[in-house]
Amino acid sequence: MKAYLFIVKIRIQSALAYRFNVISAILVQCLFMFAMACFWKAAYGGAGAVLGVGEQDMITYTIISVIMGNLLTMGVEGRIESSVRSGSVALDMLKPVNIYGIYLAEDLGDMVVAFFQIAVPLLILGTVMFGLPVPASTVHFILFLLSFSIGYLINWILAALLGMCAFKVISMGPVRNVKGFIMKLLSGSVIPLWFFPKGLRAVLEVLPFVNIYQLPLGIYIGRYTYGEMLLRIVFQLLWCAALWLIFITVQKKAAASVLIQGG
Amino acid sequence: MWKKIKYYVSVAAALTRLAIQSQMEYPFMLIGHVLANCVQWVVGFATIKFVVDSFGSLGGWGYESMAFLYGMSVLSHGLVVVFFIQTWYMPYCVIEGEYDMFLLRPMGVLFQFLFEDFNLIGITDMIPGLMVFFYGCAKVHLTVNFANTAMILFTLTGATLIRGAVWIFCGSLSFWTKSTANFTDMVGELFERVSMYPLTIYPKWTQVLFTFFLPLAWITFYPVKDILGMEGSVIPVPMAVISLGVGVVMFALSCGLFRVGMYRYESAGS
Repeated sequence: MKAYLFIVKIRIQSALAYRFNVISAILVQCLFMFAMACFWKAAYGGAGAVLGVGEQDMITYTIISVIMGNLLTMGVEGRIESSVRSGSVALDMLKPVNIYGIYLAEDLGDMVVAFFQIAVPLLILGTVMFGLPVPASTVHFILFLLSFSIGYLINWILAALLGMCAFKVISMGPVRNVKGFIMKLLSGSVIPLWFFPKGLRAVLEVLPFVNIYQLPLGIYIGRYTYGEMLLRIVFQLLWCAALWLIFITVQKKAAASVLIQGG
Repeated sequence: MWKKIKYYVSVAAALTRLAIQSQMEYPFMLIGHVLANCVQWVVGFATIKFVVDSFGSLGGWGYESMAFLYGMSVLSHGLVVVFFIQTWYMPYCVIEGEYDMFLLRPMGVLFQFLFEDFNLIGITDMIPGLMVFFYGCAKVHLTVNFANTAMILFTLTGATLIRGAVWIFCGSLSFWTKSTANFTDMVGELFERVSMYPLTIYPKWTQVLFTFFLPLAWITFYPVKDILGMEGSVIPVPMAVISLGVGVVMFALSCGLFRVGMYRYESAGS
């Protein structure tokens, strides 16, 4: 455990070294947040509630979604690909720690940094521009945190599974971008699923992606009843467990097919 | 003069051919990018469609006109990525002293730099761009005539020049800052937000900002509004012509900044 905590610490220190990147990231995200909030304001145009969600709730949804997006950046996909290409994956595997443990620790370290460097400034800017995005209640907030954590794991496992393709194909090209674009739509991070056509929504509700953004955000703004929330979180846990099992199986196979290039 | 232009064109053609040949060496990369770009724009477009379906309209714009606006935006994005993607690497070139090579040759530095690596992959952006564009044209029942075609071509040229100018401008800043600070993400986000959605969804001060001070609204918003005949304009000149004018002026200014910046270029140590 100590080894992993050390990785988290190193990650935090190295991220703190790039000041311009941080400012630029905050500006880009702030721009996006502002534009999306204006988008929703224009869409509502004074209408009270559309499909059961009010304008202020939708703006809260957007602000929290943008902040979550910055906490949910997964380095693991690129990390596996680059260490397979450079051959350093062999050295990682020699170390007396689990390589996926290392990768997860790195991403968690990045998240801690992102929280203080980007999430907090964004929350402040969002509050100044559109008012404090308050959760529906304290209980809702606690459930949001729980659901967000499970969502984080689901997102991480999906990213790791994609990253492991690199063991086979070495270079993944734009595959990661494709995944990013698809996830953006299917997870409800930009547009919540309740605005989707009915048939499509039914399919998406069953897929794991909604559990990453839409579920925690829906809980945050108080979209679901208590019974529904619990049911959905149980379902989220089931997805997490299922993906974990797939991950364990694939990981064993992937390790066997590692090809060391130089190194 | 004529001879000089001919010479420049022939060099551009030769460089372009080389760039295409080298990129054709990786056909799967190309196919991957076609897929990635298609997915990206389809996803972006779906977002608009779902919201407008639920709400009816957005900032006074219906679904059909937004489809056309989106198509124009993606198309001009594709064009600028084809011709000006090199500008993304300007900070790197300044720091690493990559301009030495161009300075030694008897041609304009910016010209050489822009044509050095014709971006074939950028064309993959054009494919979804054209799809959405024609879909938008069909949705708004655009009549195919000389005036409309000319206006669309004017707009696309102007839009490409405006976008390219902003990129060159941001890249040239590194002559002064001497840092690898990269504005690509920021500018990309700005372009997307201003050119894909009607400007009317933003507050008044933002509209003024993007009309006069940072004229990004001319990339698509004003000319498209004019082409669709959405409201009688105040000025008798077609907006597409103004867009082209804004593009030419901005491009000239950014080239000027690049030239001035070049005097501050000091190559790399060692």
